[in-house]
Amino acid sequence: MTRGQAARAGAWRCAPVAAGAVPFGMAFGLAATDGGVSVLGALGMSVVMFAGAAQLATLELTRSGTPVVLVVAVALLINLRFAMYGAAISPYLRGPGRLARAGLSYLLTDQAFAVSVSAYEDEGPRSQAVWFYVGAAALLWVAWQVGTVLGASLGAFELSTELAPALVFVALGVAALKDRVDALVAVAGLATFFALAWLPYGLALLPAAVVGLAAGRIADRMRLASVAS
Amino acid sequence: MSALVVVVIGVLTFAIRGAFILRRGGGGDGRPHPWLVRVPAAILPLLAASALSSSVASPEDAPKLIAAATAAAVAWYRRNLLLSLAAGLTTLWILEALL
Repeated sequence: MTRGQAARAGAWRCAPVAAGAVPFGMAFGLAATDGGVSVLGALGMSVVMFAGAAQLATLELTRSGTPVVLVVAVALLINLRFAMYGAAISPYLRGPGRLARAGLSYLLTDQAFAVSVSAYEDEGPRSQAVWFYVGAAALLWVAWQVGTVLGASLGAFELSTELAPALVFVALGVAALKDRVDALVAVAGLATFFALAWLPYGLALLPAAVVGLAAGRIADRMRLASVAS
Repeated sequence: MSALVVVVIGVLTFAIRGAFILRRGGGGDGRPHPWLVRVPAAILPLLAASALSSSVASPEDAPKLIAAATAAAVAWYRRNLLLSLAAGLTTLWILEALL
């Protein structure tokens, strides 16, 4: 497979997710201009941060007059999951030099990670894994910027696609459940998330993810132990 | 909001994203760490719950939950994101038109 074919395969596989990112980007663009940010400012946020949940949290917190240090801390807390994604996907992205890997890092998102890793897992080791990722991640980047500009410029546009991002995450979440341990991880995480739902701005996400992962680790070890005995 | 805040978050987010990808030698040992195999199952349902709970606030939002359940069912039987999204949105629009 050539680089171009791999990139096109990645973009093709990412297309449904990228389509879902457009309304999500529009929701952000709308929220930004509602909050007094210019179209260019909204696009700037989407280019510089390129992280929807953190962008929305940054808007909300800034609007409610939260101290800058806390705004930054919350955004980074929400984005810490990218480190987990990076660790999981880095073995597939080892080929290129450091500068190229900086570009790959910048493009890392929930969707690019989910689409690429699920493809790597389904289809085994692929040559050109990097270009598959580039195709998927770059398409997502374009969709996000297009959505941002559309939403920001069509401030008066009424859309009932505000549920689209939630539905995308529902579908991705269901597809992530590949065995019983995954189901346990999800249930443990969700229980923790709802127990901590009183925390503002998605702060419950990280502790909930950690509890889910710990539950999964314990279950994986027990399963290994029972296989060994 | 100051552009500085956005730039600071952007630069630090880039550092988080690159924490493993940018490691000398290209990061991991060729296999995801056992903890990290479970990351998608740990974080994606949470992002779904988070996105849903922010758009479902009152009993009038019940159609959204039904739409989400439809999308989840479609995702379970057909692992096709666009189909899932279309089924969810169509359910929502039909329910909103009826109610």
